[in-house]
Amino acid sequence: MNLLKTTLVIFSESLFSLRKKFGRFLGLFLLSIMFIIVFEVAYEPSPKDLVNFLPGLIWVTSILSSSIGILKIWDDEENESLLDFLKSSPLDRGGIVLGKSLWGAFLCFLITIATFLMTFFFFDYTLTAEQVIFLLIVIVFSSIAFGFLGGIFGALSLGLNFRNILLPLFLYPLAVPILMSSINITKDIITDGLLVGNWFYILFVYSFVQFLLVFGLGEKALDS
Amino acid sequence: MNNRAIYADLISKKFDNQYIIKDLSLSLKKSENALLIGRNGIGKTTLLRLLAGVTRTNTGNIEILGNPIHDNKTRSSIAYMGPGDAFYKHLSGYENLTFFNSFLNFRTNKKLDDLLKEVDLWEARNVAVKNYSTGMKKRLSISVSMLQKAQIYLLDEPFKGLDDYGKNILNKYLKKLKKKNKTIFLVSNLFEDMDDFESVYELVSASRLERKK
Amino acid sequence: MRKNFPLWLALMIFVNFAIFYWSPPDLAQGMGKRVFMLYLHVPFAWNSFLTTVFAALTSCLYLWKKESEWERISRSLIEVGTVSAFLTLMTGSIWGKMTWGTWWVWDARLTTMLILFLILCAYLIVRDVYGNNPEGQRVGSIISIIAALNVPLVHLSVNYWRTLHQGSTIFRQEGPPKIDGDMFMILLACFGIVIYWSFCCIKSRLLKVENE
Repeated sequence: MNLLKTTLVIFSESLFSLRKKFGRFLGLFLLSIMFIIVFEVAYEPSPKDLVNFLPGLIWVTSILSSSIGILKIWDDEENESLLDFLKSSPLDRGGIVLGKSLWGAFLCFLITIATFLMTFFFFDYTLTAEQVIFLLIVIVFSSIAFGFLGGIFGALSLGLNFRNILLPLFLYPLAVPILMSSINITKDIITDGLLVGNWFYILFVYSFVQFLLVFGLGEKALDS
Repeated sequence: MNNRAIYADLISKKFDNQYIIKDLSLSLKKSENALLIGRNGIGKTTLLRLLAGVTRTNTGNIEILGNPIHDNKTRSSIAYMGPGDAFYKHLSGYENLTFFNSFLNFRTNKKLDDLLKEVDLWEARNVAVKNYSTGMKKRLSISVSMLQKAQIYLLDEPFKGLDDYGKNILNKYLKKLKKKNKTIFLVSNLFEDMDDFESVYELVSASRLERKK
Repeated sequence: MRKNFPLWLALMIFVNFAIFYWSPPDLAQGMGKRVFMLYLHVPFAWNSFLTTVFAALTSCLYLWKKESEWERISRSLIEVGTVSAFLTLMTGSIWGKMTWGTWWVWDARLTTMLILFLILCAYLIVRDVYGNNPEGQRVGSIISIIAALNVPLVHLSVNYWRTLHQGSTIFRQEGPPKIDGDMFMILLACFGIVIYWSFCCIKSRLLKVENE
């Protein structure tokens, strides 16, 4: 089976499984609301400070909530027998990793969109249509970057002891460029309405690198 | 013409600097019906995983029907049944079968229904696999194996966990495979099964595979 | 509820008549704002508090007697309580947009109510993930007790913190309720309807679980 078909098969299985694991998924959104409450109580930003406060709040919240979802994307395949079966099947191994990474990116995307919506609702901040489109572009690229990072490292860490501790230790330092660029781009968008700048180039290149990493090394990541 | 179904030439596999399989060679003809026995922990499962392409050898080559093992197309000729439960536990039996069908064979839904009835899992088709008994999970594994149109069947301890009824289902299935001239390489430590096989191999040590029959 | 449709229809007609024709007008707020705040928002808020407290009591009974029946009742109560809490927040938010021009403020009452809603959602998620496992039932029971401990905090938040939210009108620490008699009667009628709705939901949920 070729790479694209395998990717679609794995992605659709994850999407179908969402129906069965909906409670866990919903928990990630509620976690975002909890983080927003905690940050608000801790900082109590005035309306003037919102422009500086909101981008950091939104992206830290979404990365933290998404990371919990990302840590779980390979949960079913931690069952060694299932992983063995998938590896012995005609499925393209690179496609398995790509499918899971795509699923991780999709999860990130949903959680980040929800975090944006909830933050702008709770802080009563309105945006123009242009700003919304620019933010969507940033969300897409950051979701790809973080989702694919989680996908490849999740595959590499399958079978390791203390995986739940080790994976965040790999993931968070590598997510710092995504966080920094996303926060700064968001600030630029909500203050000046600008999308393109150095930070956007960094985010774009980083997400492209993650994509290439998964595309090129996905198959090797599952080989033991 | 190449009559070899499986050919392994001086294969080795190391884990934690210890050889589990060392310089082992094996050749199985097409339509050969072989049993692999050996002590617990000797490396039978590792050998089967190597032949199924699940894991790579450290040295040596494996060919399946004359083609290298680590090719996606080659792996479509193999049906591998591992010793554990290869399922998504939160999905039902039917949902698991539907998922595997999407990349193994593209059979119709009616055929999936028939498969579940054949292994007596029709009543439990909508129950999540995590709630299945050991025997039910094994029978579901058999139905997944039945789903595939492979040439070579690698079965690791398929009789483990089955009651007499389950064993009858599996024996009927193995007879069907033999009739269709499929190559079967089965791992089992239940010695009463030996008579049903035309060849019996024993993995004596990491580097010694003896043919008993 | 389908069986009692004529009763529901009669109740809806009565409530609409009472709100739009019988209830005296509010000095500061228009018709829409009054409806939202008094006759929808308040009954749902009271319902969420009541169901949470009763759920905690039945959870305590479950933890003490280990009978699943109490846990099932607790779960049904929490489900209704979560919906009521959500509707409280939603109606309050709509009213806030109409009155203050904003959907949300980080007010003590609103924030504590949101936290209560999140705790109730956490209960539902735990029960969904664990299924009918005894561990899940135990963890859920403890969560419902924590939710009930939050209820007095929500109620008293307007007394102990400076908030935008209206102070206690009916359950005041000093003095009689500050509400017109007719308004209070209609409010109680609306609350009665919400209680009846909760009762129907809980009953049908328990019957569904029993049949499973």
